[in-house]
Formats: sequence, C-alpha cells, structure tokens
Amino acid sequence: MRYFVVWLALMGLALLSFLFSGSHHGIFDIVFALVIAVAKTALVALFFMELIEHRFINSMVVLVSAGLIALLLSLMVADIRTRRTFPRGPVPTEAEIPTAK
Amino acid sequence: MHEGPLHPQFENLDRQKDAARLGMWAFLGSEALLFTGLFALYAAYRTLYPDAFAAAASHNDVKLGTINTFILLTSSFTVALSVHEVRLGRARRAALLLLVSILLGFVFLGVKLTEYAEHFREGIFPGPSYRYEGLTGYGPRLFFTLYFLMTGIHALHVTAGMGMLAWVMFGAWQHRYSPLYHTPLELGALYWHLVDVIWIFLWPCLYLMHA
Amino acid sequence: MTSGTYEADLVGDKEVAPPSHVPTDALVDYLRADRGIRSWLLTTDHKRIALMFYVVIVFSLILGGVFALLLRTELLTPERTVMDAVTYNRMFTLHGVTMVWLFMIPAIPNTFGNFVLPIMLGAKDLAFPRLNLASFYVYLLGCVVTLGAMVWGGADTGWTFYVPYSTTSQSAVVPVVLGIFIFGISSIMTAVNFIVTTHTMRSANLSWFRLPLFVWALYGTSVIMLLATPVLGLSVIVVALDHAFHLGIFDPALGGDPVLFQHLFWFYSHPAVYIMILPAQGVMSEVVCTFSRRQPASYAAIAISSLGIALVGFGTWGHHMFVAGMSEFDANVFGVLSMFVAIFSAIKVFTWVATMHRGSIHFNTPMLYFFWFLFLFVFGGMTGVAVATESLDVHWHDTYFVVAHFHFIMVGGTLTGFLAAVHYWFPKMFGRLYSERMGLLTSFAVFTGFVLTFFPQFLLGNAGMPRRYYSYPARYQWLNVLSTGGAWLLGGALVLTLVNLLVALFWGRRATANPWGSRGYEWMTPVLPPKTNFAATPVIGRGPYDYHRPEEEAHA
Repeated sequence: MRYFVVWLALMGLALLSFLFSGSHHGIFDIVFALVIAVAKTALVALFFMELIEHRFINSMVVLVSAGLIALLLSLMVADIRTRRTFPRGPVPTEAEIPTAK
Repeated sequence: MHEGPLHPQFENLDRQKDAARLGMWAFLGSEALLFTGLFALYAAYRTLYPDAFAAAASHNDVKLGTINTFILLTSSFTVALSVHEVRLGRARRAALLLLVSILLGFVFLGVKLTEYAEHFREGIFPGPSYRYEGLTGYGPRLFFTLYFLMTGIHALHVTAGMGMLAWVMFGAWQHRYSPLYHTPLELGALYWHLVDVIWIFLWPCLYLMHA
Repeated sequence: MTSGTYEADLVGDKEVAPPSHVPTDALVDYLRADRGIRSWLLTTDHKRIALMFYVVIVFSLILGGVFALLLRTELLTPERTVMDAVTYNRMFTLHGVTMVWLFMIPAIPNTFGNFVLPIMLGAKDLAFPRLNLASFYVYLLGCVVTLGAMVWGGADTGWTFYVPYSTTSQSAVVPVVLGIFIFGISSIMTAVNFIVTTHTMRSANLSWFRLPLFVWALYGTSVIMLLATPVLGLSVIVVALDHAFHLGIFDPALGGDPVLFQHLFWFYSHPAVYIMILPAQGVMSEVVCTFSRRQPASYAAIAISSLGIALVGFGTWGHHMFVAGMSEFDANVFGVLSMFVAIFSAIKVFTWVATMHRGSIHFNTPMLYFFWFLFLFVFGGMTGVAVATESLDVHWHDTYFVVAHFHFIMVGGTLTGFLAAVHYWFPKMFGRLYSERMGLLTSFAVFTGFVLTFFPQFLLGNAGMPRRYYSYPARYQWLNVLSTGGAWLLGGALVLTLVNLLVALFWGRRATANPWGSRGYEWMTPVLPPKTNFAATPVIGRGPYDYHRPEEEAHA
C-alpha cells in the first residue's frame, strides 16, 4: 500500500516538474527541476529501496557519494564561471629589454 | 520454506544478508560516481554555453522524455511490489510483476530508439557527423554529443538491469525465493532503482531545462 | 555452525594440541590444504588469492623497473643514447601506467590486505570470496590488455592521457585506456569486499577502536577506490570513444575544453595517490608498534587520520592544474584544501615517532624500512606542500622537481612500505625466516640507490629541466648521470632483495608462529594459517597493541 502512495507522489512530482518547465523563471528553472529530482530520488531511495529500514551504514554510502558528487560538480562549474581573461599588456620593444652584462 | 544457503565465511544469515545489502549499496555508490563524470561535463559545458544548451534541449521531445520518466517510475513501483509479494510468499505473482517491469524497460528503450531515429533523420549525430542546420555552433553539437553519451550509457545500464531482473524473475517463478530468503531479488531491485534514479536526473537536464 | 572459542594454543613458541572437538584437517596449513593447479586457480581462499596477486605484482614491479632503467639510461646523454624520441615517449608512458595501475594501486591492498585483513578481524575469509577471485582475474585481464598494447607500440601520451593529444595521437591509446578501465573494475571489486568485510565480519569483541591500524588504513583506501575510480573509468571511456569516433568533446576547435578532462582525470588520480600511500602508512603503524614493543602513542590520531586523508584528499585535485588554465578562484580553493590534507600525514608521522619514545627498538629489516620511510616520506611530503603552493608551482610544474617529489612518496613511501610488509609478514605467509644480515644490506642499498636516483632530480627540476623531455642542455648532464647511476643501484638492490627472499623461501630457517613477538591478531594463528584461519571464530579479549601484557597472557 505504501508503495502505491510513494508511486503516486513520484508521478505527481514528475508531472509538476513537467508543467513547471513550460514557464520560465530564470535561474529557478534549474533550481526547481533539481530540487524535485532530489525529492524523487529521496522517495525512491527511502521507500522503494527501503533505505529507511536498512542499517545506517547504507545511508552513509549515499551521503558520502552525494557529497563527492556535489564537490566535483561545484568546483568544475566554479572553474568555468570564475575564469578571467586578462588583456595582453604592452609588449616591450627591443630597446627596452635589459641585456645581461 | 527454506532459509537459503549460509556461506561458510559468515557467522549467521543475518550477517550474510547485511553484507549482501551493504555490498550492493557500495556498488551502487560507484555506479552513481560513474555517471557523475558525465553530469559534471554537462554542468560545465552548460555553464559555458547556457543559451545554446537551452535551445538544444528544446529540440528534444519533452513529451517522449516525460513518458519515459513515467515508465521508469512505474517500473520501479512494480519492482518494489515484486519484492513485497515475495515477502508475502507469493513468488509467482512477484515473477509476473518483474515481467511487467522488464516489459516497461523494453518500452523505455523503444521510445529512446524512436527518439534517436528522429534525431538521425534530422542530421543530429554525436560528434563530427552532426549536421543539423537548425542549431549550429559549438553549444548544440556539444549538447547532443553529451546527450547521446549520457542516454547511451544509461541505456546500457537499463539493459543490464533488465538482464538482472530476468534472472531473478526466473528464480522467483521457480520458487527459489521465500519470505525468509530473497536476497538476490532485493539486490536486483536495488540496481533497477538506481537506473531509475539516474534517469530522474537525466530527464530535467536533457528535456526540461529548455529555452 | 557454532560460535565456539578457539584461540591458537600457543604458550611462548610451543604449539599445543587443539581441543579434541576440533577436526584436525581444519588445521592443515593453507599451502598444503588442497593440492593441484586447479585448487589454486579456482581457489576462494583469500590467502591463496593474495599469493597469486603477489606473483603478478612483483612481476609488474620488475617490468615497471625495467622501463624506468631504459628511460634513465636514455637520459645519460642529451642526444640519442639507446632509443629514439618516439620510443622514449612510449617508454615513460609505459613506465607510468605499469607502475601506477599494475603495481602501486594493488600492491599492498591486494597482497597483504587480502592475506591479513580477515585474520585481523577474526574472520574465516573475506565477505565475498568469489568476488575476490574475480578481482584477480580481472586484474590479470587488465595486465594482458594494457601490456598487450605494446604490440602496437603502446601509447605515447604519458600516464596522464591529457587531451587533445591523447584523443588525436596515432599511438595505441585505446587498448591502453581500456586496460586501465579493466583495472578500475578490479579495484572497485576489492574495495566493495574490504568495506563489507570490515563492517560485517568482525568477531564478537572487536569494536572499531580495537581493530589493528592496518585495517583502518585499508578501509580508508577502499573508500577512495570505491568512489574515485568510477570517475577515472568514465574519463578514459570518453577518451577512448573520442579517439575512435572523433567526438571532439574536449577539442577546442569544436568548442570543447581540454581542462575539463583534467578535472575528471585528477578527481581520481589525486585520491589515487592516497590509495597508494594509505596502505603503506598502515603497514608502518603495525611495524612501528611491533618493533618498538609499544602501543601507538595515540591510536585515535592514526585511525581518524586515515579517514581524514581519504575524505579531504578528494578535495585537492586541482593542485595538478594550477598552470593548466583553471580559474584563479579554483586554484586558491585547491591550494588551501591541499594544505589541510597534509596535516593528517603529519599527525601520523609525529604519532609514530612518539610511539618509539621509551620503546624497546629492534632493528629488524621491517623497522629499517620504517626509518627509510620516515625520512623519505617526510621529505617527499614537505616538497608536496611546497608544490601545493601555487606561486611556487608556477616555477616547478612539469619539471623534475615534481617528478622527484612524487617518487619520494611513491618509491620512498609506497615501495618502502611494500618492502616492509614483504619482510614483516614473510614468516606468517611462508613459514620461513629471511637473513636479517642480507635484509640490512639490501634495505640500505635500496635507500642509497633511491636517494642517489631522486635527490638530484630536485636540483634538476629547480634548475629548470622539464619532465618527459628526451634531450636537454648539456649543463644538466651531470645530474642526469648521477640519477641514472642511482637508478641502476636501486635496481640492483631490489634484485638482491628478491634473491634474498627467494633463498629464504626455499632454504630459510623455519619460523615460529610469532617470531617478532608481536601482539597483533594475525600472529595468533599457527605458523602458516590454516585454510579457514580459525577452526571456530576467536574471541579476542584484548587490543592489538597490548605490549603491556606478557606474551603468554596475550595468547591466552
């Protein structure tokens, strides 16, 4: 019975996601879609995969994996976002270059 | 009603079951990290080409993608139900539910193949053969290369998952599992749910976050 | 299966007959338990699997060493010495790939981890013995595929496979990276096995804080193996597909970004170096305590540091990319995180030294390797902190300074740890004693050869000589000659070590069950452990470093 309820919730969240994607809210498009995805994952993990009944170490695997996923994605995206290109400075002429004595 | 074999290295059946479950979760963790690399590439390239990626995502058929999402979510439901049925001693019913799950898997792959065919018809191929006039430039080609890579590797995992479900389906049909012992079925189910979870993230990235 | 108690009945060095309810054939040692080649090739006994790994791993070390000697010989002169430039590129790639994946990653975990982990936990085997056997055959397949690529000349990209060169090079990139993918699978299998075994197969009284520190080290190693390796797997698959089908995912001409490959590659390859050093540190914890006859100065410090290295080590990968074109913001983040990870190693070093204080030091060969390790690991670690300083790395990146740094850790740390383990557990694995005099000589020769090989490379790198270069300006030659001389000495010393151990294997004095008088749990079994380690699960009533108890009490 509870599997049925979870399934309904999952289908509902999926529908919500689909409907929301039709409109546009800037950055919240991505945020909302991912938040719903995480919620669906939590439902599948906790109830279909019965994580809620398993020993805690199984949850630790999920948490540590999630942390590492967040780490890789955040630093890779941060790299792209924070790159700066510096304009080329003035190139010294032949006369300006000091020569060794 | 049998308890299943106790392997000699274990003290008792409880420890053996705990070990099997933890082993499967650990393996699932590694599978999740495998897909993480692809998601990381997607995230990085999306940051580099935000508008192109959004435009390319619009070109995917969001209705087909959503149908596939419903299909996989439902197949997870039937798989979870099959484990439940075995626990109630109804192994044959469980086998039938697993059959439904496998058939849903086939439908999923079928939908994906039609999508691929449509893309190929338009000239959308991964990598250098990309020749779709409607979306040009670096961004769309990278989007679709990643799209084929991500959905392709996911489809491989779906197929592997269907193989595992078939294995335990035969086991259930032949009454090899009982309420006291159905560990292989549980483990196969866990793998299938992971395949579902991966799609739960693929779907918004490739279909929903469009222009 | 009853959970009775049976401890190895040893009083001092004497063996006492086991209780009569224990079947005597349960106590035949693991080498003699079953006969015939099938009983080895299809074994599920973790000790036999460990020996099979041992053989292939030693072979890999020799092979990687031969590649090293060849390329060092080439570097004797700035012009061509023994090979052309193309071959030279393939040679250093082969050396790197062989050493990293065929030797360093599996060396201590799959040989000594496999052998002693179940015994240290009071278990009869690992949690998944057939998975263990599979991991060996997958490893063997990886060796065949990777080395088989030599038929087509191997790859010439360096072991780091940077794009876009690796995706466009005409050399045999695809088979080599596929071989590496296969090694990754073997790694993950091992990791799953070790993690599950440690969680679910500890005997009754063994809480986490009563486990030997080697177990903590293997656990941290396994966490990294499990979660970092898949990212490498994905990155090499993408390189292989890109190479075969010209996908252009990292091709700048098609809008791709090569630095993204480096992110994925180093996300694994930096934690990979912790896969290589953590087990060696674990061995050192065991060796220091045994040969100082003392418990660790702080057990918790070493145990927690093992986990700390594993977890914080995941966050430092960008320090390989300071000059690659990564953003300054990321570079700053990675620089700071890299400093943090060094703290845990420092904690361990101080703890080991404090452990020796007021101990009763015995200068057996494993302990000698600990002293070399202490010196070389500290040196290597501090130069690691140096290159983790972005501003300094601008000067040192891709020079011999970095090469020297990581060889100090890989050879001075991991190989030294491996050799310490080889000697330490030799009596337990083979029931023989090696010659300590030869052990002293060979370990000293290894240390000397090592320092002569790699210390000049710090100077070379600081003076500006880049790595992976085939030729160089004449003023660098004398340092190169020194380094090559050292390499040959190191090679000779390692051969001598092997000879000493082979002689001991066949003609060495027979060992007793616990020749070192260690309080470690694995020394409680008979001379050669029986096939199932114990006839019934032991109930261990004390800690693994209880040197305050006399030996009789420790074994009661």
